[in-house]
Amino acid sequence: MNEREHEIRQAFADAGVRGWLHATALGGSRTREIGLGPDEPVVMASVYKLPLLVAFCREVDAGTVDPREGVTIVPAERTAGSTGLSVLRDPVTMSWRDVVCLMIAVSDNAAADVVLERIGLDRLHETMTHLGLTRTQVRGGMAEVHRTLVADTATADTAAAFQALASHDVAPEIRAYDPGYGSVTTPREMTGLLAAIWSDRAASPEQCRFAREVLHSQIWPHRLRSGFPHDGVRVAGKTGSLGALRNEVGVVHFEGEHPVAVAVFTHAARADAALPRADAAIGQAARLAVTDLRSGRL
Amino acid sequence: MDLLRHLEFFVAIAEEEHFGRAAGRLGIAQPPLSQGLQRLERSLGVVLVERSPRGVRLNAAGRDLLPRARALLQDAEDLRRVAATHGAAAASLRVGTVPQLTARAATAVATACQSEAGGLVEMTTASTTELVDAVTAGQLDLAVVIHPALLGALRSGPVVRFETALLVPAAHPAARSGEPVAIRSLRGLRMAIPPRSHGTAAHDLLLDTLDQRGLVAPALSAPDDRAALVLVATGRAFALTADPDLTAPGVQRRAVAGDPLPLRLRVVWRKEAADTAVPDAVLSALRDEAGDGAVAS
Repeated sequence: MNEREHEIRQAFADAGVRGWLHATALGGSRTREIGLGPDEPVVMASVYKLPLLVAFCREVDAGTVDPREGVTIVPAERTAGSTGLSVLRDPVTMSWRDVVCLMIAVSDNAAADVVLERIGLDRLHETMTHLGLTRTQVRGGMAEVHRTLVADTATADTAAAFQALASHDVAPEIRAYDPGYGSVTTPREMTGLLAAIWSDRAASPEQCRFAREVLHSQIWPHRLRSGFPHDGVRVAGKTGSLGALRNEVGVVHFEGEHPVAVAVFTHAARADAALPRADAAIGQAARLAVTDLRSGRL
Repeated sequence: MDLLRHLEFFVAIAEEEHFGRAAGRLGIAQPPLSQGLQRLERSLGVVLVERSPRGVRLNAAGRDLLPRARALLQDAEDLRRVAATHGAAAASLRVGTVPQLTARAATAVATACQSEAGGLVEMTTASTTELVDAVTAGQLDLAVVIHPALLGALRSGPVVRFETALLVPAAHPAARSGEPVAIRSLRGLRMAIPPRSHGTAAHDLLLDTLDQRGLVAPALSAPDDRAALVLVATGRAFALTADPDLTAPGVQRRAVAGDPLPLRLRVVWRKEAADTAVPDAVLSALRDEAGDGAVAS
């Protein structure tokens, strides 16, 4: 383990989390990378919306989905969540591409499950296989994850399940925390997918541009972005959160430099619903990795 | 020259970037640390650090040699570990507990292990961080650690909660009545608590919980109940203990008002362990000691 990897490991340990990371410079003459368990299986949580975004883009390319076509989403069928359509009270009609935008910009669970239903798990799987991401497997949407949480915590509904998850007095076995059970990937496959989006290989150049714009519209400042608060740096990304799991994968782009793709997955020892230290550790680990990959070598 | 000892100096200086802090961490004075580093540099024939009034930083040679120094120290540690396992081969079961577990409960754990596994049981006391590392490395068969903690790939049982009491300096206003003490009324005192490195997550959780209840208490390092008791008796801090008998002149025991602040413990062991009979026996002993109603499953 080199000095930088040691520092990243320390940053995770100090925040009380287990962490997995992969970072790689996009473009440039040779491949440079930093990894901490980069090929270990990790639970995606809402990071699965990134593969789903790419699958959507490819369906648009294939002409099987019209991005401007309207879709009506009614409250009764919406997946629980804390943002976007998940919290609205009335039926909403919007275009497919705007639903996709909400799914990424505010990690809207209801929007994502509607898109997943339209695209289908099979097509999503084919897309990952086509891109050579054989270890990335989406096994269901958030509604499915919520069902297992309710069962594993022996609670009545999703809200009660999350409350039980945040308790330190019990430590139930949670299948959703197990990469062997839920939707899974590796840090390296997620930076690979970002690299494909940034080099117009994931879909048509037009759709890759759409994907990049949508990823840049993500609002969360507390994870990757917290490591790069400066002017002159843009951070595009997708978070994932589920109880003690906190993730973000994204691209950090300093003006006039090659962008750097970075994927960070964490599992906290503490069960608290909010853990600012763990969020900040994602930014800190990413900063350590990205800074090393910039380091005046451009 | 003791190369390993001097490499330890070097690594501490590299990580702290400050002679005073490095010396503090090693538990030695600054002059021998500084002399030790110079001896190491002479012996290796290369300067390792840049010294400045603001601190100390590795130079290129130091940066290059640091991972090798760490690797050597790790190897030495592994060698000691393996040697220890040979030395302890007579013991059929090696069990670790945190110092917060009372002597009585630790004894119950040992007895349960002995009747379940048969043969000799070797008990050690160490921090959660050290115990998790030792079980992971195969140095211990199982351990009772504080929850929550980073457990890596270890298996773990349910959480067992032990009731705690506050130890308050007798002269503090909060100790004057016999009533349960609201946490926020302990303002002005520090909290005697094991160092953060003994278990980062549980340490932060406790201080965050105090914060939530209106008390921002700076931590005062006390590795175990004895050290905490001294700090309380001398009026410097308050403490929490799971030991129902712990007290001393100058110390008042008080119940925590409102939600309890239990000591949460878990049994941890390695994934490849063949069966869970011993962890189950330890869990059951802990639950008996914790008493009815204090158990969470």
